[in-house]
Amino acid sequence: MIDRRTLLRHGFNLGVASLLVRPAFAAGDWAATVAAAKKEGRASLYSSGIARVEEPLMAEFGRASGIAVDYSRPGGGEIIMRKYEQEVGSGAGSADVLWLSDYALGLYAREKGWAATPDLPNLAALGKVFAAKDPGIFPTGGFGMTIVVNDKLVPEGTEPRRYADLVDPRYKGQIVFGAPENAGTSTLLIKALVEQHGWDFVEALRANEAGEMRLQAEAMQAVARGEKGICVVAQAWAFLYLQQDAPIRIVFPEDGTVLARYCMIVSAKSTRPAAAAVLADHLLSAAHQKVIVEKTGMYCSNAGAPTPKGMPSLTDLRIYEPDLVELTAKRGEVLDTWRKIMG
Amino acid sequence: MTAGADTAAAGRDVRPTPRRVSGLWIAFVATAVVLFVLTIYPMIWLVIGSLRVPGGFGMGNFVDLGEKFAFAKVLANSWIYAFGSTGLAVTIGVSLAVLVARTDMPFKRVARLSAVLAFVSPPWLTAMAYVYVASPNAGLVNRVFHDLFGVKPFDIQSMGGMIFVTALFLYAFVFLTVEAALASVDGSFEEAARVSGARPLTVVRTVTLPLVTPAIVSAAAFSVIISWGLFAAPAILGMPARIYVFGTQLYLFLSAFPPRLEMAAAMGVLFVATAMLLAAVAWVFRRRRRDRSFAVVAGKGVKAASMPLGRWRLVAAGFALGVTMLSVVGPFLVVLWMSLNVKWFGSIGLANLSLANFRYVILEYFAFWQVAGNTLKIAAMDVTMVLLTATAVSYFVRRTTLPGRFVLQGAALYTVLVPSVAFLTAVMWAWIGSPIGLWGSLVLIAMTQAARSLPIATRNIGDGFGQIDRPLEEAAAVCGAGRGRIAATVTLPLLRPVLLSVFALDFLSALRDLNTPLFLGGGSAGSMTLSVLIFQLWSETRMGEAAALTIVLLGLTLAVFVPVSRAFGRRT
Repeated sequence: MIDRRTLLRHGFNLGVASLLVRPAFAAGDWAATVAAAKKEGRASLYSSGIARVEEPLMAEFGRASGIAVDYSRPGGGEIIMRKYEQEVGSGAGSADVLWLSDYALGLYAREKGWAATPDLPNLAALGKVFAAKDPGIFPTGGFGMTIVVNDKLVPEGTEPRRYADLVDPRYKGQIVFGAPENAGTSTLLIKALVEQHGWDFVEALRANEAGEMRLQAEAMQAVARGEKGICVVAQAWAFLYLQQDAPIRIVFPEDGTVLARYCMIVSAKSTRPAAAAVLADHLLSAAHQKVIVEKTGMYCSNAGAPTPKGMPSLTDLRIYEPDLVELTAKRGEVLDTWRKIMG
Repeated sequence: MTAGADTAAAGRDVRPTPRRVSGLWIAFVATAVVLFVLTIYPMIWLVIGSLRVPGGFGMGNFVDLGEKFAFAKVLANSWIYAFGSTGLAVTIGVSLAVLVARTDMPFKRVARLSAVLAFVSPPWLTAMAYVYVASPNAGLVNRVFHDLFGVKPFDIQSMGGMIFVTALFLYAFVFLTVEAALASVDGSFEEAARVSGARPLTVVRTVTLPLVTPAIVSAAAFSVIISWGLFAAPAILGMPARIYVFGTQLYLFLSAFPPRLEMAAAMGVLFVATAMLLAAVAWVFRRRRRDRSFAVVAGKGVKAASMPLGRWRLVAAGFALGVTMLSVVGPFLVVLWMSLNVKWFGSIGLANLSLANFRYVILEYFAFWQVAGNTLKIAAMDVTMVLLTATAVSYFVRRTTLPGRFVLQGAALYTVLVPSVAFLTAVMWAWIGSPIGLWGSLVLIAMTQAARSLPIATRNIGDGFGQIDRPLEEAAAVCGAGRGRIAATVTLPLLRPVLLSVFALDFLSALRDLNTPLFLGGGSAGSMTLSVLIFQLWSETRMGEAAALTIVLLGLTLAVFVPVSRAFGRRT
């Protein structure tokens, strides 16, 4: 019997094969695309990035390129996907480009036929760690799902060093997560924890009175303010608070830091395909990603983007990557089981 | 004609001409169509959605609610939260309304203004301000207590905290409703009691409050329903403490990926069923009181004299100022400090204060004017729909004998039994995929807000009709005026205080509504409102910018409310 995983694996292989036989990108084609994009004049971007950083960058891109960007950050990747699906399903206009916080969401979008496959020049500039593998899903970089602790509540040397340490009774009542319904990265983290330790681990977290805030941002804020001692969030939030001199420090878990791979899709339903392609290509450019690295601490996909300041190089980290195909197929089940345990 | 014949003619209803009858029926049918689209059509889809299971229709969603999602606990939490908040809000709101409308208490303008500001302030922002002040470990007050006494006594992230913060928002609704009713009451009844020797408290207890009992009961009932549907305060204060109520549980269903629309629909249906119990109690209460017994806006009215409080004047002032401090001044000072602050950790001082956040949201944020425009457009559409529909329904019920008028009233009122998030689920079911293409539009947001506001508006306007003594209109009829002219020249002017009150309540409610545009708006600035933008900024921990935009929203609100208040012409 052909199951979903087999289908996706075959699709992946076919996609790779099609990439391998694709002729080299022709500069003239791109020039025509850019000209068409300027005529279209506008593109809409739904992003799950950091809005305070991206908004001025999109305004600058608009001024420089002549393509105005309707920027919006509806929320995490799952919120974006949900809104997009509702809008497309109702025939309303939706985003031309989606910047998603979870690669599995890109797989989901492609499965649904929502991911276009424009030729983007900057695809050739992506580094090895974030090389493009799946047609229509453009890797933009990633964040480590880090353990962040408050300096005063969790003194130096007493912090959890591994995800497995989170069930240590020493940290009872001190730990807070972001609700996975609102963040693809939280769901990814849960999948990884369950793969490594089983659902018993989540039961143990619950017994250790691990709490939940609606968003990772709120969880990070609670730790920064000293309301809670420990949170597990995408490193970007910790990076932003460190820039504000918050009394926190970041731990990259030693039992394998979960790497949340971000991705971008260009909507196959876009009514402005050229503008969408030009915008998407810009988001993969070294110039854009250098700013993203500097301001958000993201590990970016372009080979020309540096390692974020103060963060370890990805090659120095022990990385754990959960099964994204399974996550795509069983996301609802993962969320339901988590909710049933955590309440 | 003889005097006797004149008298006999005055006692009979004027027989309407066929033209007037058809005009009345056209208006009736038009109102019915509007109500069907606004309130009935979505709820039909809610029921359909609740029964949708894989492979067809069935009761599986209801079974899952009980087995998988601890529905009984959510139900219990919801009732405790709703009744606790309402009880506290009614106590505060009624007390303050009587003090403002009937005594010589000082600081009346302060009390009124703070009620408006409390009502217009997004509840979630008040919740966030209190998190900063009274969260169990890092809250400002707890840190002060810990430094002084070694204890941290306050925990705002609890059921008690949820009730407290919600009451600080709901009391304003109770106050505005009851004060408007008190303003319409003929003071001669209380004057008669005073002249007869009754003490002030006795006058209030035995004359004043009974005269406005319908308004108090309505305000209380609606406060329960409003709190049932609240999402923001329970999400911010309750979720960290694992306290889930209807609003947050429905939010989790709608937030799931893919969304659990069927479970949300099933929960919404069950919630409506449990809310029917409250509706039945309220209905029995009102049946015992005919509207004619509250006909206190008569041909000649007397404004009630202010009761002297004597030595209690200072106590009353302290009470009013205390409520003002807790509901408005305290949270707003926190918000103001946040709006002027660009540094949150390390050494924080006055040197860090600036207008940078205001400069950003007004001058630099690319879509500020578009979002502000969306907010005003939605509010204007909402208020127009509500005033026209609610007045029409109330007129048909109170001033005609058309068959089916009570069905019309039911259609306008019943959405009070549906919590806002459940109604949003119904609207999603009704309009996602609809060929009309309203999904994500400002019109759909306004329609949904209007449907949610209709019960309060219809009830208040209906009570207003009830307070107008019939002889006033019959006198105009005797003089030959038709229905339209009577309505325009007699009824509506007398209804003006109520209509303005409804306008103010609904417009302000639309300005600060978060749930509707958050769930029904598209992802872009094209359908975003100021509340949603504030919420998004807050969600990204851009506290300063969110706070600055809140101040802007409050300024916009006052720009609307102050002229309305002056037009209303109330004197303190």
